[in-house]
Amino acid sequence: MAKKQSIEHTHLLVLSLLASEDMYGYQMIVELARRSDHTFEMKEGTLYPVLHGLEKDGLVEAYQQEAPTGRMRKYYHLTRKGGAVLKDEKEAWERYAGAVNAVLNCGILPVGG
Amino acid sequence: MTPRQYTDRVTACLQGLSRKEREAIRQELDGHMEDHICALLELGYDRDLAEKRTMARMGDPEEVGREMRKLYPLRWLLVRWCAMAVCAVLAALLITQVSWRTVWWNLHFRLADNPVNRYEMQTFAFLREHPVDVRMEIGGVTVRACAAGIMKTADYPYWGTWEDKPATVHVAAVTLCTYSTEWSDLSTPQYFPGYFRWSDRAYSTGCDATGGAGVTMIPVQPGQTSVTAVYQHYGKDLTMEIPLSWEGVT
Repeated sequence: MAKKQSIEHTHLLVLSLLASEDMYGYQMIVELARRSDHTFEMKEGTLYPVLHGLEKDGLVEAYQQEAPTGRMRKYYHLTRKGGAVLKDEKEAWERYAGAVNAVLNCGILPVGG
Repeated sequence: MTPRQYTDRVTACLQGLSRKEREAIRQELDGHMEDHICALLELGYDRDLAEKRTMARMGDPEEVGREMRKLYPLRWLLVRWCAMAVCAVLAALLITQVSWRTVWWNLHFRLADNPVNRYEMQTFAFLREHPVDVRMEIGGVTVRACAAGIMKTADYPYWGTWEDKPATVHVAAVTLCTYSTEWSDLSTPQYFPGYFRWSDRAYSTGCDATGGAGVTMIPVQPGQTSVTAVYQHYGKDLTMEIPLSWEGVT
């Protein structure tokens, strides 16, 4: 089983989750675990300062919607500004990951070499 | 730790937020924990174990509270402190039995754009359309000219009562008001019993601005573009030049 990782790029991951649909907090945690095959471990309470920070920066906006249980849930929606930031951050991450991979792959000896 | 204790500990870190904001955060965290507990119950966990697992996954409530507090830096605390300061000032003013009417007039005459826009006499109602803003500091009192217009002596009902009136067809009507020069002196009524010498015609008339606003009439010659008020203050001439508009004057 893969070792669980703490998340350092929570903002990017949260924005990425919201790119597909509006979500509430717990749904994001479940979806994050599912998409990362339970690799990422996040203290669930710490998601909310991240969400509120994104909301304050205008990258997401929140609205209330009634859950099937009758309780009100707070959903988060990616704003246009959030979409643009996500695009930039994603490109930056891909450049970074590509560079790391390029360095790592240089050290691999060819099979049979 | 129960969900309630968890949210209590988070919101305890958020004293700078309003009660409404704290409650919204509490409800959101409550909802999250309930969702998690319900999901575990569906998997067959008993309530106690589901709650324990959920609480273990939530993380340190103080850390969540601290991170949340960074997003609302002292905003409400500042509002509270300002409100307390205002209350303290009001209480102090009440204790010293300040005349609120005086404070209001001092502020109004100092700050309002056109502080005198109601005239008891219909004769002067036209001054509403001729605002000016010229001020002269005379020690603790500032005299402010806030309107100046031209009218015919024939239209001025009291012209006939003037003694030694000059041979002129027009008079400038200037509205003057007074207020405390110092901000710290708002509660003192500012009466100005002095006399101005108007323009260079050595024609004197009293300033009506004795703690309120009043209209002063100054004879003018056709085309005269301003009138100047001179006040001698401890041997020094203080002057205030008030522009005049002849627009619409026949």
